[in-house]
Amino acid sequence: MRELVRQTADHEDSDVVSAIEECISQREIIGHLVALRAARGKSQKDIADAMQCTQSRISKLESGADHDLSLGDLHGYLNALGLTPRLVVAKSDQTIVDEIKFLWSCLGQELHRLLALAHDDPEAAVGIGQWSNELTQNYMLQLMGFVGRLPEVAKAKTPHLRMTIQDAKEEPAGKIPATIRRSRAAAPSR
Amino acid sequence: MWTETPTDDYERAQKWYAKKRPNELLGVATNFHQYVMALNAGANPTDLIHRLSFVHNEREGVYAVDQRPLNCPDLRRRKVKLAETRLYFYPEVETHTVFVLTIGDKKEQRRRDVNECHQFVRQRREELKNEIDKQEIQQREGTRSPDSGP
Repeated sequence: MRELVRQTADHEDSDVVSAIEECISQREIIGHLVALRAARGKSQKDIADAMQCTQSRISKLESGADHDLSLGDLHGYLNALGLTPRLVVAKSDQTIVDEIKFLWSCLGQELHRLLALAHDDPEAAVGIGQWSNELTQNYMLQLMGFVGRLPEVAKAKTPHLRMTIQDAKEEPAGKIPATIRRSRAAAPSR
Repeated sequence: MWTETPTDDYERAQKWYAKKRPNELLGVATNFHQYVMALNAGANPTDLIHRLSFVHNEREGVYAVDQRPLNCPDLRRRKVKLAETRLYFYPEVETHTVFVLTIGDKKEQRRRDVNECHQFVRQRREELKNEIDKQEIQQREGTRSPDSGP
């Protein structure tokens, strides 16, 4: 909506455009909570029952601003949806590259956990082996697709980036086989 | 991800509201933003009338959000009295596109607005049906072996 309003507005309407953007940015977290509740088909009453409070309290929480939201309410609301909050701390001027580096390091940590699981459980090891194969293929395809779609100027200045894909489709990472899912569920958390 | 596509009517209406009724625009815009967030979280457009109190079913695939400041703490704080307003839209499930149709105000005008929205949806459905038929014909012709003749 932000983009839509900004693109449609005349120059002299910048005040109302700013007010809309300001309002939306004040509710980034709460907006996501409400969206998750609606997507899971839950009513405010369902959340209130799970949090052992009144529906009007949930209504008030949902129409508030992020700075009024307590960590306890955030936790309780997400728990009522069967979700757990995770706190991610990032630099205020986080770049896309920083973000990718961070996700890459998270991936590394998860792969370490999976490796430990493979060493502990021979049955899971087979599934993990198969899945690793799919994962490697899919990630390589995705990376090659990314490089392949870079503008020519980037490839010309960095010759080693020249990669081509033939008859290859980009696919999302393979599904985790059921054996791994079961083992992961049983694995102790960090 | 859902894409928002405005119609010419909407663009005209937004410009009018930005100048004449900015608070009402603020109300409907923030509510609509919340609606699209729910769609992007995987909600079914039809179910949302039961989950988000500011969403109304205007029949024939058309929905509307009202101006109530449920998603705008600033408007509530200022206790501004808002004229009854609706932002009409059509979520097209097949293409994950929300067509943003128009904004309407008074009750008398609303009937006209809704009729025009219904007309847009009928026309859009016809276009989509033709597009799908065309694709199916192309697929059939594409899969037919060259030896099989006309």
